[in-house]
Amino acid sequence: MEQTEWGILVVNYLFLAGVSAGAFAISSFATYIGGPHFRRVARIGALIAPWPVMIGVGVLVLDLGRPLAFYNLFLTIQFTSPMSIGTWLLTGFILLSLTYAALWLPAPLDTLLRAPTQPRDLLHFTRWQPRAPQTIRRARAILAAIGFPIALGVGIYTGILLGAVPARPLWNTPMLAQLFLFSAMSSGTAMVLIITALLGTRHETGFEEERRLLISTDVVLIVLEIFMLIPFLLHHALSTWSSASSIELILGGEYTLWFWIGVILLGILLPLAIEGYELFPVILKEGAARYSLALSAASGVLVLIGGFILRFVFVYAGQVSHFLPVVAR
Amino acid sequence: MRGQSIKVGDVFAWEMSRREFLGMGAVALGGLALSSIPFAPWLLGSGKAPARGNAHLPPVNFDREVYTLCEQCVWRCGLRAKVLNGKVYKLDGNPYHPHSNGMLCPRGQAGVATLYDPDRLRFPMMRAGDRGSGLWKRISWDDALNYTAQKMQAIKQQFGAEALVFSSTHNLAQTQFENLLRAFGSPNYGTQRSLCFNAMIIANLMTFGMQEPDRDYSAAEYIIYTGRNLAEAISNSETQDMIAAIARGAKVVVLDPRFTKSASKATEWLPIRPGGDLAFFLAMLHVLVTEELYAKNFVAQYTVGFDDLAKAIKPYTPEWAASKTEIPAATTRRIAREFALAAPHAFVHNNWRTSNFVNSFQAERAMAIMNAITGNWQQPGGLFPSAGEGGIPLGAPPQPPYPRVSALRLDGVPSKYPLVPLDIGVFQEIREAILAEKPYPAHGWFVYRQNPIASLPERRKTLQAFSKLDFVVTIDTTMNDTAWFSDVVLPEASYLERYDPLTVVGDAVFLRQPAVDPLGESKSALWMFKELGTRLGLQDYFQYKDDEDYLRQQLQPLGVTLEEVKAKGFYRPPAPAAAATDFKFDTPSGKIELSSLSLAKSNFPAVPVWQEPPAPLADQFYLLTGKVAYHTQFSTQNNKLLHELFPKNTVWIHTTPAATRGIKDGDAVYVESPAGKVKTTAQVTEGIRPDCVYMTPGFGHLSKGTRTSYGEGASDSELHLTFSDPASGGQALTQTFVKVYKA
Amino acid sequence: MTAQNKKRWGMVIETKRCIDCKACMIACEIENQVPLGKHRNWVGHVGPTGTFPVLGLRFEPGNCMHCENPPCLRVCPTGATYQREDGLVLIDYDKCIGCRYCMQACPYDARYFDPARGVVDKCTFCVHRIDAGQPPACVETCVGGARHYGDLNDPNSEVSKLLATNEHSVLYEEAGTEPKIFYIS
Ligand SMILES: Nc1nc2c(c(=O)[nH]1)N[C@H]1C(S)=C(S)[C@@H](COP(=O)(O)OP(=O)(O)OC[C@H]3O[C@@H](n4cnc5c(=O)[nH]c(N)nc54)[C@H](O)[C@@H]3O)O[C@H]1N2
Ligand SMILES: Nc1nc2c(c(=O)[nH]1)N[C@H]1C(S)=C(S)[C@@H](COP(=O)(O)OP(=O)(O)OC[C@H]3O[C@@H](n4cnc5c(=O)[nH]c(N)nc54)[C@H](O)[C@@H]3O)O[C@H]1N2
Ligand code: SF4
Ligand code: SF4
Ligand code: SF4
Ligand code: SF4
Ligand code: SF4
Ligand SMILES: [Mo]
Repeated sequence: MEQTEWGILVVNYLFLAGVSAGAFAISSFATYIGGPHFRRVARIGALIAPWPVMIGVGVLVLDLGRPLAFYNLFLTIQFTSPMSIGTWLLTGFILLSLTYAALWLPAPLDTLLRAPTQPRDLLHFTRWQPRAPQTIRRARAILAAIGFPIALGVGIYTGILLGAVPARPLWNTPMLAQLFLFSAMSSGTAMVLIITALLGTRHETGFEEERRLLISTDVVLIVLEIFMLIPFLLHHALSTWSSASSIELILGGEYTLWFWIGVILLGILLPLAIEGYELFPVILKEGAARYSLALSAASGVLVLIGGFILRFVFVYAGQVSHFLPVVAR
Repeated sequence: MRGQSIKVGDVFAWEMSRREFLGMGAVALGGLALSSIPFAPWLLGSGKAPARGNAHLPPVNFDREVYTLCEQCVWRCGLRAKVLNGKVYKLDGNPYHPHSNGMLCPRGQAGVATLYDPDRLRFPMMRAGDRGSGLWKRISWDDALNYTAQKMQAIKQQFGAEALVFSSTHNLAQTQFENLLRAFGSPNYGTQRSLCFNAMIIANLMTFGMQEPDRDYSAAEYIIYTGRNLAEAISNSETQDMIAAIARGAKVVVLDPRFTKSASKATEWLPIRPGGDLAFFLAMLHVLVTEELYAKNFVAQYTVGFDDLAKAIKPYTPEWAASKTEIPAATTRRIAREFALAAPHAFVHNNWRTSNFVNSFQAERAMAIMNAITGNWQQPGGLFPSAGEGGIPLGAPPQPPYPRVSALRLDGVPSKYPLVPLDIGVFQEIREAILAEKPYPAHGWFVYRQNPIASLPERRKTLQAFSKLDFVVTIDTTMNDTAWFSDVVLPEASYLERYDPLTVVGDAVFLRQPAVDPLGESKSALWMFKELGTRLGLQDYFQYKDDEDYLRQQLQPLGVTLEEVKAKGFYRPPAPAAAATDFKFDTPSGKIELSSLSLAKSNFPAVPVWQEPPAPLADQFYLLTGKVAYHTQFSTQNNKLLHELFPKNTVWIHTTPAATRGIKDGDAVYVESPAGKVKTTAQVTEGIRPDCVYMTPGFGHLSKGTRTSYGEGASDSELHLTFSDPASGGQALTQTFVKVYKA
Repeated sequence: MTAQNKKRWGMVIETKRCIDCKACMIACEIENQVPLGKHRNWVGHVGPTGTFPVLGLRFEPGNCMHCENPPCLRVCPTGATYQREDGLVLIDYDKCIGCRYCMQACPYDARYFDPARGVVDKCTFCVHRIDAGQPPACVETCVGGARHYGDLNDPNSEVSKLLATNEHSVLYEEAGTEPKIFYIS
């Protein structure tokens, strides 16, 4: 009985949770390096973080057979169930990221006083860099510190959720968690990359540093992803019958095109090329980087698409993979 | 809802969109809202049961458990109907019944879905358009019975009683159906038998003087089946016996051109060439006789005609047989010796549906003789005289003698088929006679519990025959193909809703009794026949007040009350004084006839001799038919649970001929015979002889009144040609050769 | 209850006795009101293998294995899936939220989602019947006599005797689920 009980809603959930985790991580990272250059990254990451995961969770509840019974999740904690742990982890993360986001809000008064005259003004607050009160800055630092590992946890969790079931050989490897983690981080970064790009503002002080931070982080994460994927494929291909045949779904099966075009080409190679192109001069220490907001936005979008398809491929192909031999029913 | 509005006098088209009939369910057909059935999601196609915690698991206590009989096939196992809130919740096997031993086969288990099939007939109907148009008019029982009786009388007055054909397939109320037709005075009675087991029955009569001896599986060490596929063509208790014997280590040989599930369980499968069975057993006999492996004393004491036999089978060496059977001579010889070694704790199974070839009768004779000369008669693991259904004498309502019938029978018995007993007949010949209008034209057909349009070979001919008739009435439980083309359809209450006459199995009488009330206006056959008889002025032949009264009269000599029998559904009278030790065979000679006087008298070979069966041309295949475990004949395909297991048939074709025709598994193909052509799906398999193809019977329904099965699969009866074996009148179902090509 | 007299329900299936009649499936569907299209038990088949006329065909009936160490239970986030003292793995339909995580975890695909009730369901070992001293519906009707059930802790039970006297195996032993359906072929 071939089952794909988990559908596109679950794919969304895993993807969105990842984006949030990534956004939070890059934000707290930026907070840590500190300094005016990275404040915008920190703020945007923080303001983004809570929302995707909340949408994702909402979507997941709708996917339940008995959505109204979802509260049963909160009446217990099952230590052997990643989903139960994840429920509490996500709840914690959502509450924390909401608070964190609130701390990064500009002083409301200020935004209200500034009557928008042209559309771009709506985004003024992002340029607004008050010397926020000590207390707030300390609070941001503390939440960033506590939140960082939790965010990583959420990123890992999306992989563990699938990885914890031996019955699905394609999922059942620790590498899946790391793979999803890096993909989550780069998706989050990509999100920030896109927003900052949309906001433009070349003449921002520290613009160069900000781009370098975002793009190089993303490059590093993508490269890490590649280093996860290669052993992942090899491990499966060289492993047990079940394992090997499960990877066939990706290497030479229904999901091959999705994987190679969607995940590898769109999600990894193209963004890497674009970002490489932008950074090249810097890396070779000859002349200024070729930062282009359009390119950043494009690479960011590609990373997000790739991240989504990655989860799509794994959620679906994984459910088709079985222990072998399977007796026909 | 439109459905509920169908009142007496309304004309309606049976066809309704699936949604419509799922929505209003059986309401359309007589006032049973499916939603009112407690827990029956499998009827509606979705779970209707409430989300239940462990507090609400399925019920274990029921309002009552009714011990009655299955009717999903003619084996009639005993069952327990568990009734809750006036509905049958579940059927389980009756441990007291020797046919079920507490188990039900898939068809028996699925009986609840037959009982609550939305397509059940719920009220009498009269055709309101052309035959087969699907336009019906709901009529009252009075109108239905009066109209039917009046039509029957009209035919009788104008053309004589013989112009009305009666037919039915073995069932418990059959005695009363036969009572009706004899009282009415028609000699023309068709049963399924000639499509089924004539060859076997008559071969046994000629040899042992009984229709079918019993078999003792408990001690059998060696069993040979010749096409009997007990694993799929299930006879519950015997299927259980076969598996038990195999598990016990008995050696089982299966001869079948097809790798059946029985073959897969057997110790040895021999993919014999169709029609070669006779040659195989002639060669077996040759080995037993020439190597003197037979039971000399038994043969001398209990049989006649051994010398004629010995002479006749001289030429039939295993080497000779090899070309006919395509079984290596060495194998045939080995099996003959193994069998003789295991004898008398061994038997050659005489099979059941032996309607395969014109030579099937001779083959059956050879098998019977194999048993006889190895002396397995009344030996552990051998054959035993069967008490049959007459084991315990029952009472019956008083009645006057039947009118003498002078008219010839349309099926040519006995003139054309001297060996065929009158009560067995040659069904397919009746249809031929209707078409030829010889010896005289028929004008009406009364069908009871039978589906001749589907079960007779050459479906087109049967439809033509119908179109020649002025009047066709059918009694059934669902709108089968035959009912669909009838003028009047009378709804019988299902087997879980009615009484039937008692049935004797072994040393006990068993009772069918209602577990729940009949749906709609459906009634028991006992009631219908009495009502019709009365309207035909034949009330003296139906001297019972009602069904229970009929049963009381049957039980009268046993000195037990109906109430007592109802409790567990059976009564076992105190064992009669031990039967006479020296058993006498009911043959002219009083012995087992290896050489048959009766056959000789009618100018048939007295001992089995080879008869070459026709063979397909190079580009043709033998068309095999055969049951699957999940369906009964032509009747259960509309059962939602069974339909889910086996929704449609395919045509099996061997890998090699498929390849040469460019046919891949799952391809649409045409199967074509001189009789017709059907489109179906190819199932490419190694499990069949390259010169054969196989189709499961019972599909390709014409009736839109069976909405679950309509349009599913293809009918092999459309393809079968009509051949009656002159000795037994058995229809030769494998003697049709077909072409198969890509659609 | 002491370990000795504590029940441990299990099944033994003699594959050589199975004729693929699927009476067990129909019996289960009706007994447990399984929605059309879903199944709590099954009859798998291998074959026909080989080439004409040397062929093989094997049937493998199954249902929830009531694993000693059930991955379905492990991953259930609400505790809806639980294990009884007698080892039966059951579902509390009131706690079940229909997340279908257990379906991913079951190596035997023994579970199904019941869309009408919004919960996941599976073989209950006919717990309602055995608690009332009756055999499971599929065992009771098994025409081939292939399905047996009983108390694995009771050396005199039919299943214990069968296991004691026959070679047997379980499915996907490597999964470490310790299934309690044992196969004799
Ligand atoms: N192609 C092909 N033809 C065959 C065969 C084959 O294998 N292949 N097999 C042959 C054999 S062995 C046989 S026995 C015959 C059978 O030939 P038939 O007896 O004509 O076929 P069935 O489907 O058994 O018909 C039984 C009818 O009785 C109805 N019925 C069921 N229960 C009841 C009830 O309680 N009351 C009433 N009134 N009706 C009921 C069913 O709806 C069905 O319409 O077919 C023969 N013809
Ligand atoms: N599930 C189920 N069980 C049933 C029935 C049912 O409809 N469904 N019907 C009942 C009835 S009425 C009957 S008569 C019996 C019939 O039961 P069986 O006697 O077993 O008859 P079939 O299943 O019709 O055909 C058996 C085999 O004959 C093979 N065959 C065809 N031609 C030849 C030949 O020339 N030589 C040999 N050796 N084999 C050949 C076919 O391949 C097929 O596998 O089953 C009874 N039991
Ligand atoms: S064999 Fe099956 S269908 Fe036939 S009577 Fe027995 S249980 Fe019913
Ligand atoms: S009921 Fe028994 S014999 Fe029939 S399929 Fe199920 S397990 Fe096999
Ligand atoms: S078979 Fe599947 S559902 Fe049953 S206990 Fe084992 S893991 Fe759970
Ligand atoms: S579907 Fe129900 S039983 Fe399965 S894991 Fe979710 S809550 Fe547990
Ligand atoms: S034990 Fe009961 S629930 Fe489980 S498969 Fe058998 S019949 Fe179905
Ligand atoms: Mo038959």
